[in-house]
Amino acid sequence: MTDITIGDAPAADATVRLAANGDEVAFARLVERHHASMAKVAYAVCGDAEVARDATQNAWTIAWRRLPTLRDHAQVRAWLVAIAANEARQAIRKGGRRIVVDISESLDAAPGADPADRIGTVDLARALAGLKPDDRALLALRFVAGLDSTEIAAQLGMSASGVRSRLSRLIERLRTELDHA
Amino acid sequence: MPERDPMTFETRLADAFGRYVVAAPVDVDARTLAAVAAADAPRRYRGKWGFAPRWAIALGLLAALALGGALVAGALLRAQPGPLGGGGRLMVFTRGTAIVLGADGSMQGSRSVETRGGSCPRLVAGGAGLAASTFGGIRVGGIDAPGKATMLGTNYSGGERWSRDGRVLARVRFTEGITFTTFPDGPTGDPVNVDVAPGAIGSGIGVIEANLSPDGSTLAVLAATTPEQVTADPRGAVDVLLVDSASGSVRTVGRHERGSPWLPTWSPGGRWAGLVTAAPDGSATGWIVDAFDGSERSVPLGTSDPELQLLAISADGARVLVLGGAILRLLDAVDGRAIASVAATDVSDAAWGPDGRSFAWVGREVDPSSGVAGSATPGSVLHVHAADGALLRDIPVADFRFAWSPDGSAIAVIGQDQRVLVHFPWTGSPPLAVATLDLGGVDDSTCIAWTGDVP
Repeated sequence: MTDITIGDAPAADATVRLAANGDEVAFARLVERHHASMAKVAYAVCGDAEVARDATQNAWTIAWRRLPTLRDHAQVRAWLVAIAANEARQAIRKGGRRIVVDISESLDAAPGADPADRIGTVDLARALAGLKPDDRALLALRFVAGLDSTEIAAQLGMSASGVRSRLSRLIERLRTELDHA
Repeated sequence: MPERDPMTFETRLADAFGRYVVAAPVDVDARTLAAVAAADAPRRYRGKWGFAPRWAIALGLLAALALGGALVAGALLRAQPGPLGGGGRLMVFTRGTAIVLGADGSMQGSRSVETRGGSCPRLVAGGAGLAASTFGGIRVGGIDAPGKATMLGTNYSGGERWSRDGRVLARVRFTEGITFTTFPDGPTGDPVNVDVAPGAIGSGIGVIEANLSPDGSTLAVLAATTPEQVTADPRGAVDVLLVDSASGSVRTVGRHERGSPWLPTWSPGGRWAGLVTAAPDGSATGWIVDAFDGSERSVPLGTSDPELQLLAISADGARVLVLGGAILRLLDAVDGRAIASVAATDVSDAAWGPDGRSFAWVGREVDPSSGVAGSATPGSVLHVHAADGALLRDIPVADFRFAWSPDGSAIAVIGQDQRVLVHFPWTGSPPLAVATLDLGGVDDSTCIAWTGDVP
């Protein structure tokens, strides 16, 4: 259930380059292309639509300012979702917000795989609520944005092995909680 | 419950996350881009330069007091009397308001400045003026002459580079040449431009990257050798050029056939230029160019090219700071020997002091045995070291921004109590509080800058 980036690399690179040099139309294209991914990651971190909306907006403001410092334009999506995750993480810390567990049966009632093999959305929300924002950000980058350990490491300033190790521990924790939910 | 295969569980987890984030606000609403452009929107109630009237600030302060400290626009910064200690002029900017302090601590100006996308304004013309990037161009005006401003064009695809003292501006176009701008009659006088035609820049194809020396004398240019490097793919052979800002003359100091050179950088004094190339195995090599005679030497950087985030050369060209792979290294720039290194995370900035005696960085040290960062608050400590790597001072800070004094003896930070503090790492003197972020504290727009005396 991860987002997939579609489009040819040279064109995307040109868009990033133009946006980095202050081209507002190019920047709007980036917004159009990546906003949903960022909002989803922010939501997975904070669990609150309004906070996620604000965090994503803040992330775009930061992205506009710092885009000229992005060296590898091919990594723009990873870079943007990492900013969104960080903004959501900080919003939780500043606001002392906690994930609100919404008992919404409709989300889990959607058609798809065998329900018996599914992890319930409410159960996942409860499990996430028990994690630190840093850990939720890591999981969001992996399972919502679909970044691999190397990409996450590059964005968070960690080693890839460190990311793998932390993810492994988190997954194991979630497995214990969710399989007994 | 039966034991499940980890991969199966990860697939189920990804599926669950996919359903969980269905509630995310994925639509782009009008606020999204408006927030980015807000700082650039015309502010009709302000003067030409966007300076808020003094009464607005005063009313804001009064209202804030009346409302018991509620956030009111305009009342964000408060200067505190007293000498700066490090000389020069210091600017503090937050939420659209800038104050500029003189060396004696006196207020030189306090005003609202519109900037593009929340970018920081700059002290220019030796601290006599402020420049702000807006969507309409770069506004340059005096800090003591509200209303008078020069608008410089921003249609420069390669961007703008300022010297540290703001006396020289280099505007770079990828394929249409370079313009150097100086302000001999101060920030409100007529600027003087020196244009460098594209045909004079290397093979005349275009510029890949460029960086102006801190003293503004020289622009280091990585020039393309094929058109694709300018438009799509910067990899390939690159000419390394040094362009004199006063005359526009161009010196070719070398060509790198391999390794996709990037990251042109300068030592604090502007004597040494640096760049980075990648070896076939991905390892990064630094190249240090003597701007005096154009000679060049290489230094292995001990990290891979994709991981490299920062290369900073000391004033004497003898040492380099390298950030890569979550390790900050201090290397001998002659033989590549590691003098010191620290595992660190959340490193947001690292810079040599202007006098080359010390360097500073903001981030969290990581215990190599446990992998645990040493502080619970990201970016909460500024680490100041002597040039040999010895730790001089750990300074708690509110965020990652810091500014060296022009003489390198002092460093300004935003303390965790929201005061702008000037520390003296070498003497151990108590810090001076020079300003306070009265309301709202630090946000993403907050910045500080420190430049030399007004000529």
